[in-house]
Amino acid sequence: MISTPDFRLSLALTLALLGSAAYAQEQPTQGGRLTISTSAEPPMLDPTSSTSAEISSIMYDNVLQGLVKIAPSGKIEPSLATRYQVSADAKTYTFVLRQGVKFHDGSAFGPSDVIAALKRAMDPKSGHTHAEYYADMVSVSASGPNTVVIVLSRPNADFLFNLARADSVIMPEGKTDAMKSAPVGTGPFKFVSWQRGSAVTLERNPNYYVKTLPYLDGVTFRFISDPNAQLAALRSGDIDVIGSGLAPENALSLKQDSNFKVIVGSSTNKLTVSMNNARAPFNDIRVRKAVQYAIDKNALLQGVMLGNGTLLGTHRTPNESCYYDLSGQYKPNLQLSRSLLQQAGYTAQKPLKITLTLPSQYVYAVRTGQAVAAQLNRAGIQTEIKLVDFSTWLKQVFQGGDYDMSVIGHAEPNDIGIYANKNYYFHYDNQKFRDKFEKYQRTTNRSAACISMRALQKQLADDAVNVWVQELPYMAALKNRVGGWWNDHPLPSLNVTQTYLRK
Amino acid sequence: MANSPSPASLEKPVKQRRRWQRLPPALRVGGLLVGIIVLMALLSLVWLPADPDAQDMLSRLQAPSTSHVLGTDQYGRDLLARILVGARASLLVGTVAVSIGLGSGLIFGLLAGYFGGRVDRTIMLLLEALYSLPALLLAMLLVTAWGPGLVSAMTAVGIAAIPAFSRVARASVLQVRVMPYVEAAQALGARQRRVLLQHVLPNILGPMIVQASLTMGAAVLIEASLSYLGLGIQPPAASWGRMLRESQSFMMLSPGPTIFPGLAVAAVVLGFNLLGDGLRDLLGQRN
Amino acid sequence: MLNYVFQRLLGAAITLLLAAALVFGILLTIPGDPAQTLLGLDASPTALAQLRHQLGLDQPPPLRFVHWVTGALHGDLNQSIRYDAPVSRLLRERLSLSLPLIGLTLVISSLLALWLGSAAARAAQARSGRDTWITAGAVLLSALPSFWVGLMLMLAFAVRLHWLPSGGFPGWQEPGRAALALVLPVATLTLTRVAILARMVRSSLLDSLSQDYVRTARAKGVSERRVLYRHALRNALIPIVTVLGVQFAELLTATVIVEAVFSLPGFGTLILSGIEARDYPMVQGVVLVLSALVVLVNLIVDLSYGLLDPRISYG
Repeated sequence: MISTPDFRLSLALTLALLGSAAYAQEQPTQGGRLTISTSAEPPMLDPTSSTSAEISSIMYDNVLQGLVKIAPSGKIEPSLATRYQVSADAKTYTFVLRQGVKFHDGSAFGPSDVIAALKRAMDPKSGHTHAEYYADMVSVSASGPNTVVIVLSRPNADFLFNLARADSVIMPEGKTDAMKSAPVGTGPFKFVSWQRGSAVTLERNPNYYVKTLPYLDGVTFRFISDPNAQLAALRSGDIDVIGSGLAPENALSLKQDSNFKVIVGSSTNKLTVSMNNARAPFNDIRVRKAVQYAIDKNALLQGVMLGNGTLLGTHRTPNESCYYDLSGQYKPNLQLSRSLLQQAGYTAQKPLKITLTLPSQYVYAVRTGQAVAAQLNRAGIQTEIKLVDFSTWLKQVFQGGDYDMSVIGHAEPNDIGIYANKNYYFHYDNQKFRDKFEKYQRTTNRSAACISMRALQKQLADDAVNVWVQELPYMAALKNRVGGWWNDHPLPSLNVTQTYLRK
Repeated sequence: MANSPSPASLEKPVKQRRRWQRLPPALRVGGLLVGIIVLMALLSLVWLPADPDAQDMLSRLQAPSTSHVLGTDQYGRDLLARILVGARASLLVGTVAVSIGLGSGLIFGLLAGYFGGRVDRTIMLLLEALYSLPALLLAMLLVTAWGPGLVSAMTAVGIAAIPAFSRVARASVLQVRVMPYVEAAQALGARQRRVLLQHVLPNILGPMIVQASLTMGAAVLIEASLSYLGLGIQPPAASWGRMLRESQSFMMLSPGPTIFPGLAVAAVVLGFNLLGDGLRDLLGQRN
Repeated sequence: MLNYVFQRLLGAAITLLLAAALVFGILLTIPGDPAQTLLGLDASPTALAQLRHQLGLDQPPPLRFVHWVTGALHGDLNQSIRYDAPVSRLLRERLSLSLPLIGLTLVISSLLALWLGSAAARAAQARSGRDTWITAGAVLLSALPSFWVGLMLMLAFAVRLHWLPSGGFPGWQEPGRAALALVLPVATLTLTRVAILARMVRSSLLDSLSQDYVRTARAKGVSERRVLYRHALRNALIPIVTVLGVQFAELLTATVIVEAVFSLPGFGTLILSGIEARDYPMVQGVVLVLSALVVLVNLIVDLSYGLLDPRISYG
């Protein structure tokens, strides 16, 4: 065997290129059923009545669709609207609807369904969980048999994105209440059953408007939270895909197995060590900065996520538009951290003592929290861990604001606006930020909006509001037979609309 | 056991050994196991092979070696040190829980058994309701209500143990109450509190001690289960149940952190069960 | 007899009511808001308030309890908050897994215990070393935490050998795979339950074997096997049945844990997710049914004494 390392490298590269070319040209095969594990059970199945990411994961685009949708690249694409037009003053949106589309219950899709869905969305009393997305809407009306016109009171840079979210899916008019447990949509799959505690089953929609789709006959989403059980289920063939919640250590051992393919893609999930900016000690920016310098994000990424993911420096991931890389703003520096603490009045004799409240259901949060506590203790910040279940977390931390520090992933895409709400559980209260956010929202010129967006990100980092550790990557493992799976996830969606099983 | 001033220690060594050998085998093995665990817990107060909470991400999940006798866990912490510290937590929870159960059980049992009638019926009805809830479930609800942690776990397990203690106490009181010396004391006009404390209580202690030993095993098991379900002692403090829960998903990479804490739980439970069985044999009771 | 049963049932009803009140009281003190849990992280406050009203969570607690009790008396266990479905339906679904799991465990562990216990008893009579081994094994087994036994079985038979599924349940529509999915859970429960029963069988058999009527039977030349199974065992059944009754509550507890270990959608995981989501009606409903099961089994145990031993009668 005489081969120079260089030669081997180039050969490997060539093979890889050939492989990807073959993959791209591959003709998807029809038929087959897919079983996918998800790490948590959704609380209901209607994404307009709950913000849980698990709902969007299963339902978005697969079953329920909106006027526009978000592609894996993050771009906004037509869905139930074939094309749309925005007026010059950015206040009027005109959508031309796809014709001949039928809901899964056989009723025809038309402008009245769109109007009913959006009218419900903009009404805060309707039970829609994100009515604020549509707060700028003045009216939605039909104009002709297949055109819908939306008028805004003022321009909104995020409006189209909001229409592409799972919160804006269109369901048949007047049947909202039934949607929570038996959703009816227009997607390539129709909902069959939800076995509480174990699985959601979908079946091919034979009347789908794209005649060649879907490739699969049916899909089952099984809820398996324990990483160990996921692994065993994949190995024993009970499931074809670990769709979410794949633990990094299991990714490591699956990578060595040629029967499976491991995906580490981008997501919009920001792993956040949050601080209560409203009360002592974290109402003092010096203390917040001391924490920034005390935490070694790279050690967390290597140790907890085993090297998977991208370091962050602000509340945005590279996967979201107008990203500003600020991950290097605070380099680990124990000396600087100590002197900042000293300035704030905390010394070795009178150390800073804090409580770190962690939601026990989320393995990554508990693991990160334990490592963060160890790092803070080393820096002289005495950190006590308090594990609570998620409902308690929601009540005490999220609703009550009764906490010092916490760890959780913020998965919602494009959600920097939460910092403009001073009642949000970080209790970040900065008029300058709110003004900047307002300015961003009202800017419709793409590149001008981007400049504002970057300024927002920088402001958060400068104020050291939270420690944004890393993007929690989208991790999945598939049997080799599975093709057409989304690598990158610009929103929580286990999108199977173009997934297929090789023979 | 060995250093308690029993009559045996006053006799000759040869006879002493015979005495020890005459003890029920269950008592000997159980006593030995419990002794070892207690020693481990005491040892952890003065000496540990390593800092049980010190993380070292570079030496995660190492197999047993000379530097880490039982290897390391998923955070690179020394497993032996954590198991030693875990023994402390386990015994502490067990002891406090048993004390709560024993104390309240004694009071309820004495009252119910001695006074009988309406008092008995009311107490037993309440206890019956408590007893119809599976112990772990009750403990889970209580711990969720109070917030997970050492104190809530101890108290919850203790409360869950009350009905069993009360039943044993009541049954024993019913036996003792008709004994001639109690009836004699009553006939002589002794105050009820005095009869209860001086005549009844000492005579039901035997069965209560047996029950305490058996409950100790059960309490350790419930604590481990609670911690396994994430409701027990809080990290980073070492608790065997939590160690199992957290290492479970690393089972494929390194089975040690999943095997050793389980063995430790088994050893404690086994020890106290045997001790209880042995005591029962010694005190000449049948179940 | 009928009078006795009636009295017991009345007592049981009061017990259950007290247990339900206890559970309700504890649930009230648990921090949390089912509406927020259901609607998720960033849900709008108006939507939250609306859902709370719709769920009746804005009513005073005593009123809620009375509503719940009157509902339960009519056989209506209310609507689950977490799943937006009737609790009774959810329970039926879950019991279709849990009851077979418990039933199989009871049957298999009883049979195994009879076999092992009588083998040990015979060995003890013959002063054979087998008795020590069986007893020691039983003592050891009964000390193992059930979740750990489950993990070890999973490690061996699912992860390493790939013989059996590691968890989850495909549903009874696929009977073959469903049965396979229950093998390891039943094995886990059986392994940790059988030990106590086997020791009970052994000691009560030894007890009976030393009784006069057994000696008489032996003297009459009845074969040793027949003595054991016809005469001694029948009498030994009383303490065994008692232990089965006492063990039942513990078996339910173990089932909750084993279901969690093997991710089985039974009542155990239902109650765990109910507590997590602060689904008050669901937790109350499941606990009520579990308590009722415990009370019922103990009643059956008490009544079965009369069948096993004609000398016992219920005046």
